[in-house]
Amino acid sequence: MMTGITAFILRRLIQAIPTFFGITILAFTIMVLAPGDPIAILTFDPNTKPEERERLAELYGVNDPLPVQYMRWLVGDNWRQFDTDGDGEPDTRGESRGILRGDFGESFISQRSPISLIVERLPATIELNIAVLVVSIPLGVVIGVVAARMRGTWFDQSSRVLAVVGDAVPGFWLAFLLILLFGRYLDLLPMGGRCAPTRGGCPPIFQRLEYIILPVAVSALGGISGWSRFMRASMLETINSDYIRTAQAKGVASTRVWFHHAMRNAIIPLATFLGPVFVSLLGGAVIIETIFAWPGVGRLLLQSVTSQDYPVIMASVVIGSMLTILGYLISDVLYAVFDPRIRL
Amino acid sequence: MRNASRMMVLLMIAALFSIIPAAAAQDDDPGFASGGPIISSNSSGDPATFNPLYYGDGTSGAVVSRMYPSIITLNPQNGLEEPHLPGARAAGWEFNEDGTVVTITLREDMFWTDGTPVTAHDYVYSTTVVRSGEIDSPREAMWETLADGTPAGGKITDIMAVDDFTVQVTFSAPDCIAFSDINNVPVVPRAEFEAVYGDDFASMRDEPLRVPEVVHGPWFDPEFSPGERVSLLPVEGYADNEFGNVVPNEYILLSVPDTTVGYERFLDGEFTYLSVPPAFQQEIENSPDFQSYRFDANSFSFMAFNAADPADPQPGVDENGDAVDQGLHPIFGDVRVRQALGMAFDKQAMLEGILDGNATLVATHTTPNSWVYDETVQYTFDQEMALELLAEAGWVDDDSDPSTPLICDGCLYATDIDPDFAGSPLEFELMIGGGSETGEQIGIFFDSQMEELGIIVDLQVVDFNGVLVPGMLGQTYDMVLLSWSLAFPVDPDVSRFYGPEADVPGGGFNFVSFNNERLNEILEEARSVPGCDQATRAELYEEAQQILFEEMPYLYLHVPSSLTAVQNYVTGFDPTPVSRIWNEDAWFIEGP
Amino acid sequence: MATATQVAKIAQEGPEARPRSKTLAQRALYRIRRDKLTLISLLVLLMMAVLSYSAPFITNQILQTSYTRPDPINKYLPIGTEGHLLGTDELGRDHLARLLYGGRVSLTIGFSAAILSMTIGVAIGVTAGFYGGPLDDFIIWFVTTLNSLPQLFLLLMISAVLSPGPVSLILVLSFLGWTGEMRLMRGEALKLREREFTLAARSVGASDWRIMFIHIAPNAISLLLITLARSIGGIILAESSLSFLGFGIKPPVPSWGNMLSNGLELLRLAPHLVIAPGLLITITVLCLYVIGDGLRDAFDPRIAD
Repeated sequence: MMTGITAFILRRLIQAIPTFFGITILAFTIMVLAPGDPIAILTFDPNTKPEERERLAELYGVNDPLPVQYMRWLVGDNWRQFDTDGDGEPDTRGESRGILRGDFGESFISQRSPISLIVERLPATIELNIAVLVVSIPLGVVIGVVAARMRGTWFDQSSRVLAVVGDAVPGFWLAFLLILLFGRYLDLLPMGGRCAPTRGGCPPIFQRLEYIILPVAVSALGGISGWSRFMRASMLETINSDYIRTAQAKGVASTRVWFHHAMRNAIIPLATFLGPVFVSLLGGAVIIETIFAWPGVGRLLLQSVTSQDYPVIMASVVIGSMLTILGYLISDVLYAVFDPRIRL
Repeated sequence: MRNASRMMVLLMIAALFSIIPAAAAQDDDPGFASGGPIISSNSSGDPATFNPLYYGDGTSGAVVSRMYPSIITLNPQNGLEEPHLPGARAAGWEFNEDGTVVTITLREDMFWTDGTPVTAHDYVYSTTVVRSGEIDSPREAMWETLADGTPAGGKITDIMAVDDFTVQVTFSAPDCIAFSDINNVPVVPRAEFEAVYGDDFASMRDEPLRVPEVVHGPWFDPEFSPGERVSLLPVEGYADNEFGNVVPNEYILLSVPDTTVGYERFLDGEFTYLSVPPAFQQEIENSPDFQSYRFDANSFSFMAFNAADPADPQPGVDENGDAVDQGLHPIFGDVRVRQALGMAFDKQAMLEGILDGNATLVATHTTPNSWVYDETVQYTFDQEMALELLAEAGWVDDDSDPSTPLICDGCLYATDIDPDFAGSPLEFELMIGGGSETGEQIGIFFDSQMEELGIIVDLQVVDFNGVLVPGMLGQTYDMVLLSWSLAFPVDPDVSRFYGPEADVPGGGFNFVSFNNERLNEILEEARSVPGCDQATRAELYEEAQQILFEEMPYLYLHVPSSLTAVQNYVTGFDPTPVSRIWNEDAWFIEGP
Repeated sequence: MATATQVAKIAQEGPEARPRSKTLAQRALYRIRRDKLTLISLLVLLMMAVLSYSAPFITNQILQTSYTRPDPINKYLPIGTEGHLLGTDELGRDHLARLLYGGRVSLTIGFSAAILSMTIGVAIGVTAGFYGGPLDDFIIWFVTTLNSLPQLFLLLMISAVLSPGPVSLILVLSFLGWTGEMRLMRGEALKLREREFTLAARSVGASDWRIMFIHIAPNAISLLLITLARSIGGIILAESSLSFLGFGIKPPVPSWGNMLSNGLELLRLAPHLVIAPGLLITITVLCLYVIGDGLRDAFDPRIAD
């Protein structure tokens, strides 16, 4: 079994290599197609002299041909020498190590490493997303199972409608209305941020739960509706399968069949969702983070896109994609482990 | 981002105005850190660095200028550089006879937080680091050349310490504007910087958010939480304000990306002060819950005409400094068309309808706080005359039906560029940066007014960084709506905007390709007036403004009126048109 | 081996919903006729569409106003003002007229992008499944790559590049949206290409093209219909989110999304500018989702009548 799993993971990792290169090419293409000019943005100040602008363009290598830029981005250029003084003799070694060796360059805006910018924002995003999952999965599963059990009743109907409503409301609209209602007029909850503005960092999460309630409520809504729809369908499918019919035929009590046998089987595919869902949440929190002033990765990305901060955008995309690939891999492995019918 | 008010392009960050003549201390004066925190909201990004020598973004500037004030302070009442303002490092200065050397005397009673005095050597060290070129500082441009001889574009050739408290700055030529460049670089503690970085200035870039050990300002010890806030603590023993100590117990710059939510949070009492969005100014002014202060913003809005051929952008001058034939814009190459649009647009209706009356109309490149501002210079609104001017330029209405577009019938420049142009309608693209509510509204209003005259405006709201800046600086646009934020001290020099050297496709800020010989002469002359006599310079600049008014490189719109609101729980709010927060370290905050 | 995600996808869309005969389609129609919730949703959606697409007529003939002409003296008029049924916006333009025109833009984007992406997905999916081999491998590689890029990242990046008008937004959303349908059709084609009727068609000399799109593709219509309803709704929502982030349809063209995000800033001055477009988006998307669910149930062979 173990060797089976190892071989399976290995095979999937090898399959991921061409995907990874596809991602780098696609991301790079989109970025160079962008009509903007990061140098112009950096120097959007009538006090800047043309010399300064040229120096920056040279520094960031935006004047090189595209394949050269791509290769330098990918594998770096510290293994070749350049002619910087124009005498025809190479004299200076390149400085970039390339993303394959973990060097994403430095942010045009803050001159810091994109990785460190992303890493310092990750805890807040992960915290929010775990909270969303912790709320949405149990609620979604319970609602879905009960709805399937009470199929056709008022509960089933209203849970379906509620699920759909939760999915159909523009998130930023709902978020803003909730901030006004609970934050401003009822004055029950804070209107944004991750904790009170005190020095020394945020206290442990259970001491500042009031800050996370609204963002979680808004982001969990879609999750609850998705999970409950999924569980309802999955339960109905399981309950109609042969072995459950057999159990029923053998006279196992109906409730026991539903909640012991059927639910356990219906929940298996759910476990396999965790990977991709978690990863997609990472990127999807842009709006929630913006409106609730939550200090996460999504806002960093939005800001980088607005200011055309290529290195940070590229790093976010590449890292985000790698996490997605990892997420799919984990769920496939989980699926294989949980469901013995799948041969490795 | 939706809320980033990109119409307001911050050109320069006004220095912090920290000091007021110290009043005699009274017994009931608030003690050190006896008040609550100042909480200010920030919708732009995180600070890039705490290093005052190379920061470039506004958030870093807000933090850095509170720890390292500049060498010469501006008077908060008039925005002018004045000697011996308490809190300034400079006690006075004196020019030599030909105006090329200025000797600055520093105060001897200013100390770093470690107790050592602030000396001339500290300032010389700061400027030397910048000149080395190793830290890629945006402030390099104060120097004529960098250490390795690369031209940097400025006028300062040398800065040296005569003794511990005397600095001597040498300019390549007498220049009335370059004096302000002295303030570009704040004073840093040489001892600490040398101990940390040694001779390797470039290593300052390696640890941009290093917390400084020694500062000289009301605030220190920055604590940065990514995406959340920067917090500063008051410096005990900093005595240069009204009460002889810093009163608030903390300064917090809170990151609030969405300005709509930010406004609600201010109303809820969370932030100490706020620059009120235009739509809500009336609401705040009528509210008893806030102190508010209205002032003319140090900025103006305009619509720029591309006067040169947008199909083939050329620089204004070649390498030898000779004029280049840039071609002409088929529509705006003709000054009569520009003038006609100035007359055709009902700016008064814009002022009342869109700006709620909260602005001052202007017709030149000046703001009311400038010493050459003349409020009587205004465009006349006269659609009849506009049509006549257009007809003169060859744009006619062939069937006298006002709803059909004006077409080119031998119009001067359009047919010059393309003989087939005859019969084409008067149509052009107006670019507006997305995210500016007021900008979009003005654009739509302008569009509808032009339509009444038969002029077709193709309104394009575009991504500011992605489309507007490249199109504008690349000089491939027709017309663009924008706003310039100016800096203090207000200086009427406009060569960066209308001089031929600044007309460089892809980079220069004379993207309207304006070139007027008389204007160039005046600006050159006004910069080098002996002794920088203000009366002589004012005369020259008034003529310059007259040229801009007549030639209309821009359709000048308005100077917005801003409103700053402060919570009622703040005592000591003493706003001036130059700065609302210049005495914030003496504010006493009871709430929230 | 089916991957977990594929299995999960099918489970989510409604398992084994594949009509094989006319009777199944007839049964589905019969069921929908009895499903009041779905019928009401269809009716509401139809009404929205009719009103939106007759926006020019309603604006010019009935309201006798203009959706573009600013009249700033009359800005922020409340709901029920004479001459402006739903009030006016920040430039004094008639809000009702703008909602109608905005609906035309939003619905057009939703429907066109969903249909376009479905067309792309079906064409590529059937081709990949039918031919297999290196072509299939290449397509699968491309789809995996596209799916591995976080969608919102991609959407933001491309929107920033294109500075979207309605047409480019439709193209962007379709480019990102077709992979689900593609996987669905590929699976279908893989399964059906060895079936008797395909072989029979081939033996009488039918062209590949004919087999793919006349014999194989129609088999998945029910699945596609279900997907389509949800995807239109999703796209309308995505358009409003993009507007909020500053990458949506740019003014002066009205869309429900940009009216809503613009109105949010003015909530204190004119609540109707926020409430109306928000409700319209919610109701429209709600109807589409309910229709999607209704279709799924209607085509579900396990449900007894």
